[in-house]
Amino acid sequence: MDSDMLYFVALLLSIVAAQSTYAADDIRDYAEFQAFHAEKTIQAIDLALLDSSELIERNPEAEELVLHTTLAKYVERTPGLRAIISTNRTGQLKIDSFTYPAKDIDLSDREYVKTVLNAGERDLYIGSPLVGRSSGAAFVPFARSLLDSDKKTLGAIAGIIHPGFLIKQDALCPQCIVSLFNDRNEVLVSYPSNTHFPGEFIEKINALNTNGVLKGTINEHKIQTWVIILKKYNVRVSVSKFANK
Amino acid sequence: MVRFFLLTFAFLFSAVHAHAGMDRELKLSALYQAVHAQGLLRSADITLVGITSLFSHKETSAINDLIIHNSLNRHVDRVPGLSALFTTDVNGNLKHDSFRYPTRSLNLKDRAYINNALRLTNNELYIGEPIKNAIVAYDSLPLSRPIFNDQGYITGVGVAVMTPDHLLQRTKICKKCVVSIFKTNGTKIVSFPAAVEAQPDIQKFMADHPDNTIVDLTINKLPTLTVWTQIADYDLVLLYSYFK
Repeated sequence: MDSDMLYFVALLLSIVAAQSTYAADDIRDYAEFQAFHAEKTIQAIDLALLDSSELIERNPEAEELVLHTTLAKYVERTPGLRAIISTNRTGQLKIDSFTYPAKDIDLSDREYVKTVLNAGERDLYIGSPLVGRSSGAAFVPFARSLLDSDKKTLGAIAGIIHPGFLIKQDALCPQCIVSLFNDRNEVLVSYPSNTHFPGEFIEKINALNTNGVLKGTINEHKIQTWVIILKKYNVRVSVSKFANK
Repeated sequence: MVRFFLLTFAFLFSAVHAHAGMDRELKLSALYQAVHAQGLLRSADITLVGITSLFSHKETSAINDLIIHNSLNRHVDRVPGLSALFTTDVNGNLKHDSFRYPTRSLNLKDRAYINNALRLTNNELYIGEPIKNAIVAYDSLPLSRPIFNDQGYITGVGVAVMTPDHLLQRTKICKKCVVSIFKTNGTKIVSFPAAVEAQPDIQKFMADHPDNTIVDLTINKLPTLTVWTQIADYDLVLLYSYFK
């Protein structure tokens, strides 16, 4: 190999190296931003639900109209929050920020209601993504239990979340995918919304204990993914980019 | 000749990459600060929804003042950047105050954050302008919303006081960068570094350039890359400049 050739190879290698470093930085920056945005959005919803639950716990027998009106105000000021509902201790719908008077519905079979009615503490529970039985729209329930001063369960409170608000679509690298997963290997939301992740890919993401990069393939295409863990909420945020061929 | 061509090519290539990287970093840094500021304002906003709703109901007047004072303090502790919460009656007399118990006799009728809150409709927030605080040596940013009674009449104002410096996440700001938050009317709320004087006319800059777009801008004869982004829910804009 003559010296020109060697020189040429070295030059190409350095360009390729520069480009791949750039790509990794690129998706890490976007992943950190998306995770920060998701965290701030979840925090606001968490606070609105905490304030709302204290309102009900203070006086569970307060007039329904008063509670309905106040919950509707929280909903209006909190992006991503579509409605707040609360049930009594048997899971019967009592207050609905969306409808007054609340419909006579038994929600005790809903996974998120069941979980927090049995929780005995006020931690936020992020449920599985669902499709509303009456609205037909996709949502994620954020729930916590309502407790009296002796920590006896009074009921459940839940925020009906429009998961699209957890992602900032206009701040994403081109040809990238952003997704949020809960700790039960379920996709809370992703953009583009029709992205399909193979099961083992999500399991790999959930197996990570620290923020970091993950390499893998989807449909035989190489993909590089940055994962950021929101520890407090047990949510993982990933930004993926298909590797250049 | 070939070498010269390749070197030029490599140089251009790396320059384009560096530029793209810088653009990305700047844009994301500005958005990051905007999300941070919006998150803090949102928490104060949600807290005020709760406080003003609480005082909407007659039953609240039966609650002991000390319990209310303690409850206000719990809310202050919960929200980062929030330094005080207080309420006034419709005439601007201080009613409940997280800062001091028993509440001082104080009339705040002439304050802009009281007057402007009295003009709002039911579920809106007023963001004031930074006030030099006479007691503590740093600025205060008041946020306020009206209290309505069950019949829909205004009976007072709920006020949250923030320290505007907290609106910026300093550890994430680069050494050669200047960040400021303005109201859309041009009033500056906060900047980092705090002492920065020379800044472009924000309203003109917004009119001349689209948001989230990196612009080559000369500030005080120094070349910068500058970008502005909206904090739309609160009528604020964030300006982020990198001095080359």
